[in-house]
Amino acid sequence: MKVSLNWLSDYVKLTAPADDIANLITLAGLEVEDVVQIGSDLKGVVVGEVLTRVQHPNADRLSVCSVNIGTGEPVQIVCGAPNVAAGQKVLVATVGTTLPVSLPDGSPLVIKKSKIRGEVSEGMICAEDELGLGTDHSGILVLKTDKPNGTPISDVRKLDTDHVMDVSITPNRPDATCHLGIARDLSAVLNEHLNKPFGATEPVFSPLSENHIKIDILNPDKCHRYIGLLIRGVKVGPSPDWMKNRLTAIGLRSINNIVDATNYVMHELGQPLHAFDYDQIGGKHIIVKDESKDVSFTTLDGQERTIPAGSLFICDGNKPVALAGIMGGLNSEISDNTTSVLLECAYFEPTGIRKTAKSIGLQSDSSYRFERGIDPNITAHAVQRCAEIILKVSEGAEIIGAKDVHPIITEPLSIALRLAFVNRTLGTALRFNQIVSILKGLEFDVDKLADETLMVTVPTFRPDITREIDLVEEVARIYNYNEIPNPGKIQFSRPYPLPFRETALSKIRDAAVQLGFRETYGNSLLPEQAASHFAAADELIHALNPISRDTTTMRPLLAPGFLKAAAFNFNRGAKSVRFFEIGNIFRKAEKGTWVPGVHEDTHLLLGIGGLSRESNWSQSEKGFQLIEMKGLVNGFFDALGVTHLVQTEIAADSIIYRIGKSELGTLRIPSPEILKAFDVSQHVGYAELSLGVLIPAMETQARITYVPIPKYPSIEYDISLIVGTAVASGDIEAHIRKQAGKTLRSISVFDVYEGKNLPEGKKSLGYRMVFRDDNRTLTIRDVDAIITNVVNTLGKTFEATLRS
Amino acid sequence: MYSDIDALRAEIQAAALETADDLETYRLRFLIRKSPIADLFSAMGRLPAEERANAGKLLNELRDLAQQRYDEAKAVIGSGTIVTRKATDDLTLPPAMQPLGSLHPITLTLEEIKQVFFRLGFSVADGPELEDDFHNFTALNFPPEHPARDMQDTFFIRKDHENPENDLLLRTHTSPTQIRHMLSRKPPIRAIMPGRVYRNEAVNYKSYFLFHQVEALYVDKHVTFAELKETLVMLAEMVFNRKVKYRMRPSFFPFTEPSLEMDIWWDAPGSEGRWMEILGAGMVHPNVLKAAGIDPEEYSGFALGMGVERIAKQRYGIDDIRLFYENDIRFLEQFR
Repeated sequence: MKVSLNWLSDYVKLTAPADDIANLITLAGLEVEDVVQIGSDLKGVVVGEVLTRVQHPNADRLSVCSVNIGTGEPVQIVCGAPNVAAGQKVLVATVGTTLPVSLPDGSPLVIKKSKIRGEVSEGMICAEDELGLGTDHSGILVLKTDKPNGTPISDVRKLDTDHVMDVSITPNRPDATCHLGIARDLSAVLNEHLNKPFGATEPVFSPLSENHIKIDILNPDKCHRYIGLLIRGVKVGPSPDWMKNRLTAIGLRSINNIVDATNYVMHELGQPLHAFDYDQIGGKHIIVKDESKDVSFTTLDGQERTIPAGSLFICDGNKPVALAGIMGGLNSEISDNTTSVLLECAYFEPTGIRKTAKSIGLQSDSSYRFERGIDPNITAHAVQRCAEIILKVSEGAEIIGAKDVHPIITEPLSIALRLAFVNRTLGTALRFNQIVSILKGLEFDVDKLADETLMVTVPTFRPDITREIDLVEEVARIYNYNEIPNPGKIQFSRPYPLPFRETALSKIRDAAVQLGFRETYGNSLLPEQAASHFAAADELIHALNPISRDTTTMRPLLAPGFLKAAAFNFNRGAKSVRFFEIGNIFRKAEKGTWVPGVHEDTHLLLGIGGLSRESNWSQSEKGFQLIEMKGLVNGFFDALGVTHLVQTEIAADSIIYRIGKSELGTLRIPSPEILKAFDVSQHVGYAELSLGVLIPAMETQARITYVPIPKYPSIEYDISLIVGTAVASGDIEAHIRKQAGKTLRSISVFDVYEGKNLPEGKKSLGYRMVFRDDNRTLTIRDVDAIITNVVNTLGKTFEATLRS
Repeated sequence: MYSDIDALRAEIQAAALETADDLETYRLRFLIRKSPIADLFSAMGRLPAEERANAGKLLNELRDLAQQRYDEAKAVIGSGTIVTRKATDDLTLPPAMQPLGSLHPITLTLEEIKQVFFRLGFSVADGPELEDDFHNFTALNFPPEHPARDMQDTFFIRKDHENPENDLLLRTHTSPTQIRHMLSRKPPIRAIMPGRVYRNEAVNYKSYFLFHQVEALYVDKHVTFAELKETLVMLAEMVFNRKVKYRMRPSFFPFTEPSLEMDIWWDAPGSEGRWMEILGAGMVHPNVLKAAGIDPEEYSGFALGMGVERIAKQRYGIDDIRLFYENDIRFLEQFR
């Protein structure tokens, strides 16, 4: 909200510079985001006296003047104005002055010492428009002044400067949506008197007869008070400059004197008002009521809108004429021919206004205030104030009277405030009278209830204050948070242990980094199309109000994010990617994880793609192979100490990992269709694991128990087998492990070969086995016996023969 | 015999042994079975018996010398300090790059913030990103149809018209985890709630529809606003690792009262200094304690929250929040 410093000064004495005032407002809880000066202070423009004037030797239209600007030596100034003459008192922009006019390139005009057609010129004798003081450019401004030469312009002319602050209003402060409200905070902080533009008691209006206007409120719960004030003899026309300037300063467009007056009062007192053309009110009857069905209504911005059932309207005898608290109707707006005005000043209940405004997506300055909760007891003051202003800006206007319907009266709230509670909450040692002074400064009524307790009456413009704690904040914010002493130390109760999940997540991240993966952060919201590749349609979760079609659907897996990141980088010339991500995934499920019907789990994705090795003088380029991904996943399990818990189910180009009965995840190559859909130009593969399964498994392994280093030597034994190409190495390995028994400590594949020297349909696999017994030294004879058995049974099971 | 020994000794000492070829020539001359030294050993039998011991000693020394020079030269030549190196032995060549893993700048920042909290005795609590209205709004003292809800534009997942507290939505802050944590244990409570949150806001360089927060909650007997202030100052100094110039301004959050926002003075070299908001905080609202089953007359508490992206942007001088979610390697690799 924009606030004018000049306007604030109407209500509270402000002497400090604008930036300091802005700071005070900020520290009282209304953050000033920006301060802009309007109008130039014309620093550098001074009174001067033209001592001599001669014709410029090289230009017919120019004069060369000698001007006394109070600096001792007169300066020479070249002037183009026809009216310049010796003896004149003029305004001189001295060298270095910035004038409030723009050069053709948009930059401000800065006066420099220069030569004009060969004659030195040190300054500029100014015309009215060049100073922003008017529009006259017919000649220089000649002063009738006896002020000495060198006097700053601000001492001879009243300059229209102002500072406009952009104040961020928190939703709890409806009182601060106007100049008076902000002035009130300042008056409390500065301990200055608040000059309100209305008196202490409600104005009394001459009553209007039923012939003038009838007002009925059919929904008093939604409209607590409605005053209609009739003014006759109105002349609609432009507003005077003082009102225009104030409204334009805070970013409003001046419309006409009547509408401007209502806006002026809204920004002064926070009470929205509406001016009807009285002659357009059918039946001279105002009915405030909600409609039980949708209504088509044209608001005064010219838009025809469908207003949902239950919205509150102001109707005349025939039709709706305004959408209550939000916007007037086109059918009753003030026109140039209006001569009688019915001013509406009402209190509308916030919830209903907000509902309607939200549902039609229309927030006006009026609805903004009503939905926060305006002062229910300023109605009469505000309408009186507005009428007075209209009388001032429309000569001949006359107040006929007002009708005041007030079905619900709001009494101020009283709250007990304990001194001890204030100090216990804040950690301060405030005294009784400090608190009383602060609260009184904010117009709270304060009575002493007991020794250490106050009874505080909350003004009705502060609907946010409902509890003792709210009063504590009022005291603290006016006292200034920064003045509350910092104790310099803190105390806390005995900490409880970190959950295992936290430790596990660190280990998981560390393991991924150790394996050379870069962490990525993907989007949790995907285009539905992208998500649909990774879950069934009935598992996908969509936002009801997405911001775009690219972010409609919750990610059912991390995989789409990996593919997107891979494509992004390949398309920018990356040769390889090696990414990991930890993040939450979402799917519909019978039983929810946290909330009903939603399976939400944290996943880990490890993905690689493109080249697994770039070419270099020492090595040739190597493309991505899925087996590397398998190695990385195995390395990952090793790093976390869970290898022995993981079972695998291996298919042609995927591996399913399980822990116990739970599926831990899968490793896979995406299908060509998916690669195409994600615009991934290189081969990629990834493993996606559920941390909801992995972390509990890690927890069972969390304790590391030392195992003694083997005392006895181990024996290494290699065999090469020839088997059919269809035989899976994993099956042979499993067989060997089973047959060899527990002295076999490890098995690895040192050779895989097919081709020359082998029969068609055969391949050769070389296994290296390490045997060890923890209780004695194994002999080669022991191992020979095992090998013989292994080879025999391999022969029977896989038709494997030893390669000679 | 003695003159032969002297001549051979001189020859051995003078032999040039600079290349592998030199070494081989030398070996063939002195160290094979039929070398002149071996011949002299054979000839020893012809010497008078009293001479043999002395000659034998000299011959042994000669043989050892020959071997020693050979070994020394071989060691030098073999070490490559003399032989011409192969092209690939050039250490000025660039080696192949090692794949390096890295953490995302948000993780780096978040982990540092967490470490600070852990030093200050906070534990950590977890909750869902897809929340219900009760935990995200109602229990946090956001009345239905209150403009405070406009402060946090919300993605809705499911509307429950019968009971709006069951509306499903993407959490707009990590505060619902505070409610869950308070409901799960008795005070004293001292924990942080890090995580991803969502706001239905247009994307530009300053704002994204998802970001990360860390909130902290302390509920105990006699927790004061002054202690909150002190905690915030400690936190800021530990996160930025220096003394900071700060100010605290009153603000509004439905779930705290009094509420504040903390700014720190930021003057990057070469640019004008300015106040930069780093966190919001306040004393936990009595309504929130009540909703979480804690008696506000007996206990008080404070809560605070900060945006991780905001801190990360500041730490690394990142001017566009969208970079965090593009996952461009040229961005990610800068964070080591």
